[in-house]
Amino acid sequence: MDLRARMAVEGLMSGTHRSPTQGVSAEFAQHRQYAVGDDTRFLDWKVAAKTDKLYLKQFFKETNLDLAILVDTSGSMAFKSQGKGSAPWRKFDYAATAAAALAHLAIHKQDRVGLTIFDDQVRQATRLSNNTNHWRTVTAALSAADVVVTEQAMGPDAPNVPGRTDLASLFDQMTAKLVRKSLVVLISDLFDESDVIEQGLAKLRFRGHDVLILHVMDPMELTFPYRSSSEFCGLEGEGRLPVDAVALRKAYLDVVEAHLEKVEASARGFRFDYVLLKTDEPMGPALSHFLARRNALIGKR
Amino acid sequence: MASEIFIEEVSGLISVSSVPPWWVTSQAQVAGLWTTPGLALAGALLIAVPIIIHLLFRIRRKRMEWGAMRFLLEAFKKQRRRLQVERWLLLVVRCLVVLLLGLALAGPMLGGAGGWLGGLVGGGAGGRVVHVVLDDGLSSGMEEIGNQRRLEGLKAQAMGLVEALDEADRVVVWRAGVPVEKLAGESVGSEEGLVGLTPREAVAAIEGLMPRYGGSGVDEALVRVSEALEAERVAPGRAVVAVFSDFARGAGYLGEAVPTELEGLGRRANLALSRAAGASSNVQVAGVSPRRRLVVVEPGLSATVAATAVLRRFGGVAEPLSVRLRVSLRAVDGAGGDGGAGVERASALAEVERVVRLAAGQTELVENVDLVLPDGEVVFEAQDEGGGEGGEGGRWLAMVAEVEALSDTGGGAGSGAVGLDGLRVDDAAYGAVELRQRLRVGVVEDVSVSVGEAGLRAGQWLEAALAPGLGVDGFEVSVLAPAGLSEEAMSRLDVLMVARPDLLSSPAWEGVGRYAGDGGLVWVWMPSAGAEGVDWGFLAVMRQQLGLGMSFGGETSAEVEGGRRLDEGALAPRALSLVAAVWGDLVRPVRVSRWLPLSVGEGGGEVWLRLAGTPDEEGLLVLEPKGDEGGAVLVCGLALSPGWSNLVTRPILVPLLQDGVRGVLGGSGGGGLSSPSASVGAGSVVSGEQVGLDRGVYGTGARVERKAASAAHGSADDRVSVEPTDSAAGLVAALVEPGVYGAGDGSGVDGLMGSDRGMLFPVNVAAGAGDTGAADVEQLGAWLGALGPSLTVDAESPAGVLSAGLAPRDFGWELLWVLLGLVLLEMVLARRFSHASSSEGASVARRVLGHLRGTDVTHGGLGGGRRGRAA
Repeated sequence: MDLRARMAVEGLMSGTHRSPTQGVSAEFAQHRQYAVGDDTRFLDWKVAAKTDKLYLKQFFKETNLDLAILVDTSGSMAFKSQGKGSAPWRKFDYAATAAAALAHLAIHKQDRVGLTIFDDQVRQATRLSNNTNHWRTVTAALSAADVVVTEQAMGPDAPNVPGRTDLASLFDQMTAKLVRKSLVVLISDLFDESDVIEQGLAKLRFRGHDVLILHVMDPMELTFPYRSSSEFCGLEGEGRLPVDAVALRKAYLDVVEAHLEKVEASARGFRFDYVLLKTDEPMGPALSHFLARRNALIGKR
Repeated sequence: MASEIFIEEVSGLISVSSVPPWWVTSQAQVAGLWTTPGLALAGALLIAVPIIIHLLFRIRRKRMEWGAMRFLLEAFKKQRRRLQVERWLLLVVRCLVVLLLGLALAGPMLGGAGGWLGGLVGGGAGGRVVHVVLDDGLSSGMEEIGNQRRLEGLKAQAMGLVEALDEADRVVVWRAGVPVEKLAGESVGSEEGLVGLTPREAVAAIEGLMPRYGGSGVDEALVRVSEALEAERVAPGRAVVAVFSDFARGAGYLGEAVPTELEGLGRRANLALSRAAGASSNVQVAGVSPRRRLVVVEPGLSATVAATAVLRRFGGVAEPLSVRLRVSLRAVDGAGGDGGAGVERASALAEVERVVRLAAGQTELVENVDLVLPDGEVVFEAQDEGGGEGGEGGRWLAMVAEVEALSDTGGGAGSGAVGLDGLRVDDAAYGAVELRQRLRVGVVEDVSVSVGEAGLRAGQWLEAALAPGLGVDGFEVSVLAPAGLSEEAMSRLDVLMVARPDLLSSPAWEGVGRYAGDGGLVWVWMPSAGAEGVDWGFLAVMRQQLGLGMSFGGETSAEVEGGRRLDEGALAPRALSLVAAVWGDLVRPVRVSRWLPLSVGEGGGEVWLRLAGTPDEEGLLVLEPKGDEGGAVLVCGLALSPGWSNLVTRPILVPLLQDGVRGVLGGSGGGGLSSPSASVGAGSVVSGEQVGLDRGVYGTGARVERKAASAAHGSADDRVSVEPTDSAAGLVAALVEPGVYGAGDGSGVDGLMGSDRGMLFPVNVAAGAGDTGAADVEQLGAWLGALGPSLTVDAESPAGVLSAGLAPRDFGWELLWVLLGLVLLEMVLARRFSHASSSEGASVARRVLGHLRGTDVTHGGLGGGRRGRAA
């Protein structure tokens, strides 16, 4: 995990993490005309002497970021496609790597990082810390995380199925736990009701958190390329389904696409970031693109 | 029956009327559905192949862990019903493909035993047009064992067929016995666009049919059916033509080619044929005719009417057979009877009865009989008492010949003799003979010349030969001056003898021509004018005005001394058959020194006298028929003068004139009647033929009435009177009932019988149709085979041909087309159901192989579409 995370963030270290809001720091941002009530400590006296006008100096605010990383260890995250064009990693492996990489980046910038591992409930959670050794704690927790697979048929709507994704419960717990405004990174396949996801994102937004959704999907789950009838076995207690894959492909893809579109639309609606990560594609470019885009947004919010 | 003919025998067809018509009840019937039943069975078994594949795919499902099961379940929930329908639909289509392939290759028969399918595809009950052709010709009256006529059996079959029809069906009943007749009215059922009777009406119509006296007209009936099918435009699957006939050997059409209209009739309609009857024994009078239809009865002397009867027998000819033949002359106008007219009052004036024997193997016997009338004068006196006009015209007598087969025990042809003669209606035949006391002869002579070279004029020679004044003369000779020859004078003559043709003008010749055309006999002699010479220019005028085909040479003289001989080896003319035995003796003493050679023209003619050593077409006395009324012109290249020949002094002159005149006039059909000649006897009409009566003779009210008949052809009170059917177009009437008919005008028939317009003519059964022997199998098969595919009507269950759909044919090609359509449908469905647009053309084979190898992947999906968003 440690090695994979380091490889993933290599090349991403050139930038610094800055807050998108202005505040007190050493880096000049801009001048603003003085208004009654402004703090006179920030008057630019040199400009006043030259122009006989009062201007305030404004600086970029450098904050200490609280990064809450939520990693899904539900049964579906254990899926790894087989055959030609399949991904090299399980979805959980991909998600854990991404989580470790982000934690590494944040700790390197002295931001506090907390890790939460969940499925139908929160399985493990670390405290927020920017200690250098905390990254090892994070990677150790990710390495030790166990994906619970339930092949026994318990029905799609059965409650309290071990290893089944329960985002509603997670969001409730996280909103209660995060007392400061934080950046919440949700790394999951999001196999839950889209309405539940939307409600959870709304709660986080209400509390002022920023959310980054890293939606991890196996490429086969997006293409459903099977040609013959097969017996599909669910990993979260959905049971088995013998079906002609070719006949069901279109309907399946329609359902998946509808789900993805709704999740993405919800995230965009709350001005959250959403990134679809396919496990057969390199993680670096996707994260790099994401970070560059966030840097571009600094000061615009 | 000695033998039965099966045309395209389809045995084992539905024989139980209680089962549905489309039901197949036995393995034999199932086998009869296909030309290659094995392939059909294979096709049925191969249905298991797609089912096995279907099950195999279910069993061999590859187990696969799947993360996004939530979405898969949701998709499956939405598509479950559609997927099930698609799966079963595809399975059914694939099973049908395999099944139809087997069935198509097996050659299924539509119609025939495959009628169930025909019913499914449109041959079901209702809306059919059934043409029932019922042969009620002469042979259908044949009594089989149990004294049941063949027609009864045919009617039972026809009614059995018709009763099985639905009320929505229409029936057209054709009587195929001559004259062919359609019983169904054109307007019946016309509201539904169909013509014909309802089944119930048809059964009633068939039930009342009786055998006819004419021959079998199945060919004519089928031609009319074919025309009706064309007009009705009924679909082949809806048209049924059922022919019920005994197909006896006597059916005349079997010897002829099948009319072109009937070729392939079985493909235009479902054709069903009854089975041909076997051979049965029958004895008949094929015909009877007087040797001369005109007989001169001399007063005070008995008259003899010579007649010829022809007997035939069919079937059972290996054994000798004795028959009783009775030939009689019957008065029909009151003479010799009680004064009335009608069948029962036609009393016999003369009768001959004899027993004759047909030897083993003998099928035909010609028997000559002489009927002696006791006293001709008594006959004519009776006619006068009976109201006849007498003197003007002749006396007509009906000639009836009857035959009766004698059983071995010597009894008559009662019920026990059915085996010898099963058909009674052809046991009697008819003829007619006219009696005359005198024939009126007019001689055109130049009375201004006192005597000829031998002291007698030509007319005197003729009068001496025809009426020598012995008191028994049958001829009344009158001399007419050439200048006074009028058509009115000629109308009273039976014969016009022209002794001085050189003196007749062109208009006079024109009148003579009309006289001959109306049935008169004209006898022209060469003129002997003595020293003043003859103007031979009259020959051209005569030839033109009489319309003669013969040609004339120049006057010729004999080089040999004493004259030239006649050809004594030549046969006697037909009209002189009574002197045929002594013809050579009569001809031998004749010497000819001068003559005018005559050549028979292209129009035909008969040479009566010929010089020895001359060609056949050249003669001295030539007879040429004239017109359709029995008229004739006799031209003699000799003059009635000793200077030309010694004919006037030889014995031949008397029989030549007397028998020649009687023979020519007696052989004619009689004035006013135009009818086809039957096989025996001139002027005979075959039952069912149409007769035209000359309006000029009988007027617009012309009618015919049966005056005499045998008991075999009607009861004593059965008075048959036939009215004209179309007075404007020649008074045509169809005569069906056999017997001797009289023709009359608007005032009736009886009043004319004694006049020169009165006339009797016989109507006989179609003797040829009485041949009740079994038809030649090959001949019958070839004739019926030309009609196209057909089925044989099962006498026990005639409705089976309806349920069998008739006209079996291989519809494998149609099935192959259906199969092709199913294959295309399967491809479309499979592609659509499998959403093959995203499988990028993967063939079924590749998909199956991929499935078996476990490389079950394809491409596409959301990857491309989501990639941009991920970026």
